[in-house]
Amino acid sequence: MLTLAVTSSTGVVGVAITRDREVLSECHVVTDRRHAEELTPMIREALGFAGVGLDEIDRFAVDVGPGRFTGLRVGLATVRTLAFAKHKPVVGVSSLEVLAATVLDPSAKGSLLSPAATKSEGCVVAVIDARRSEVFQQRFGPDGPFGEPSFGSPQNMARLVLPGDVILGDGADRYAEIYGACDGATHRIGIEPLAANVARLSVGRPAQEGPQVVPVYLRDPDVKVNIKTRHNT
Amino acid sequence: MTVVLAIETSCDETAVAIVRDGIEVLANVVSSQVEIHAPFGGVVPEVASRAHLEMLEPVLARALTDASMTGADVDVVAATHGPGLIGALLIGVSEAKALALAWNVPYVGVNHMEGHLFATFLERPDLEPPLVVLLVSGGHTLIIHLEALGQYRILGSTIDDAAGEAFDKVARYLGLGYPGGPRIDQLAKEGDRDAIVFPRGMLNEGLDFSFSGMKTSVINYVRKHRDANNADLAAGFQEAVVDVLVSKAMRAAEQTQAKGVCLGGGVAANSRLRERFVQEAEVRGLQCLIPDRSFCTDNAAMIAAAAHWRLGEDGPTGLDSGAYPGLGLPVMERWARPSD
Ligand SMILES: [Zn+2]
Repeated sequence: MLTLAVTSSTGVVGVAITRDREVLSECHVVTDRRHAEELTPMIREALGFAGVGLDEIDRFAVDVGPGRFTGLRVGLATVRTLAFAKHKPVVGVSSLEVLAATVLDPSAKGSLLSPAATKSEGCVVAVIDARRSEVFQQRFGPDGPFGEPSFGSPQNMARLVLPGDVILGDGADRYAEIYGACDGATHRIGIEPLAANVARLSVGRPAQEGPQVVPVYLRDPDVKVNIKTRHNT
Repeated sequence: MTVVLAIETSCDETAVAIVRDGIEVLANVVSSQVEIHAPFGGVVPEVASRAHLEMLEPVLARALTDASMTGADVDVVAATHGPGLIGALLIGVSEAKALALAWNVPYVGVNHMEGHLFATFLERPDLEPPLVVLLVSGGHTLIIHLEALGQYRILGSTIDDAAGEAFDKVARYLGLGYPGGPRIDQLAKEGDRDAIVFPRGMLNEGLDFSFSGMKTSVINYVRKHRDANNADLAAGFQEAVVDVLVSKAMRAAEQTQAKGVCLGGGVAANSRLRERFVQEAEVRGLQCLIPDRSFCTDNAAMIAAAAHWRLGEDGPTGLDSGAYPGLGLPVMERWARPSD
């Protein structure tokens, strides 16, 4: 099974082409606000590197957040449109899980974390910058996540970290002083979500019709009316 | 024969159209978010972006069905890439670029304002420049001299509020709700437009507009006359705005010796503006074109028409392009202002 996977819900845009669990090609770029500019050409590039045509892709995978609203919508709009045009299904994967999966052992079936990593380092806390002085956060153990993803101030969220945990993600990096001070926990700096992990996590999960794969915003929209740019009356 | 599929998501309409050869509209689907934004009294950008993504597949599928087409029939994919709300624009741009990649056809990013100018040619491809176009919406009030396709000069613009914005603000003050333009238009039909005469802002000063003072004079009038009739207020205010818009558009046509005058933008749906515009053009022996209401308000058919022409002129837009919220109309230097 050929999968085209995309990550775009943080400051990183990435595309991976995988055959089952084998990564055929993988591209990433750190971007600030250029998700839309980077993503479409990168998909074409990743297909080229893998020597695969878009028509051969069996299904698409994409991280659905929580994360940057604009970035994750660019990813979802792009992937869902490709799926629409090619009549193929989509698997949505949590961005926090993709991040946590950077310490995933791809050979350990059904387990998110490698037993070795778990024994020595405890659980993984994935933290994504939510802007407006908040972070999205979720804690993962060997059998999957503990509870639902949540968000709040880094001060409050950092209290949920336990001794032995490994903390990672751009949210933890941005508030490194707070997360670095968590008792007995290790903050690994500079860990970004990888498109290959979006693909790996999608394996064995049910695929859906494009429109069923919706963003996980968690936070309600800011209700700030923009009169200046409003156009129609 | 060239079939263009165009997407418009710059503000609060999710629209997809399919147009053949820049003029033949095969599908024109518009999904309005106006009811989603009504409780807020205006467009909320984040709410608009979320709604655009929700409507992506249904609107696209509907357009293809309406045109009895599949992707294989589409030669070009286009999207509005500015001006507009950045988060909203990016949905349409991402969708269009993905379609271009999937269908292996060129992508064209279109300027929304140029789209409004091309709405005119959707119905009257025979219309001959030079023309004067009055473009009025919630975001813009422009008098544009269209010398030839792609050659535009801005003759006048608003120095404060856009005309549609003034309608919205007055409607909100009078408690008429949102969107203000259609509400005032409706209510004005029951009122006497000569009962209350509001000042005509900058009527005899060049071709620029000022609507802020006109809005303030409505508020001041209501403060002094608590018993004023809302219908008369709406009719009086609308008449003042229409008077200024039409007078300046006609003056611009005379000064530039244009062959015709056109109306575009969301406010061009206003019934009194349409009526006066036609009357005044007739008096002056000018060709006059007011597109159907569905082509005045935001739609993707006009984007397809502009894309068709732009592709021939500039070629395709790169897939590495994005959205440009502050994009201006590609104008030539501002017209040396003729004296009044
Ligand atoms: Zn418009």
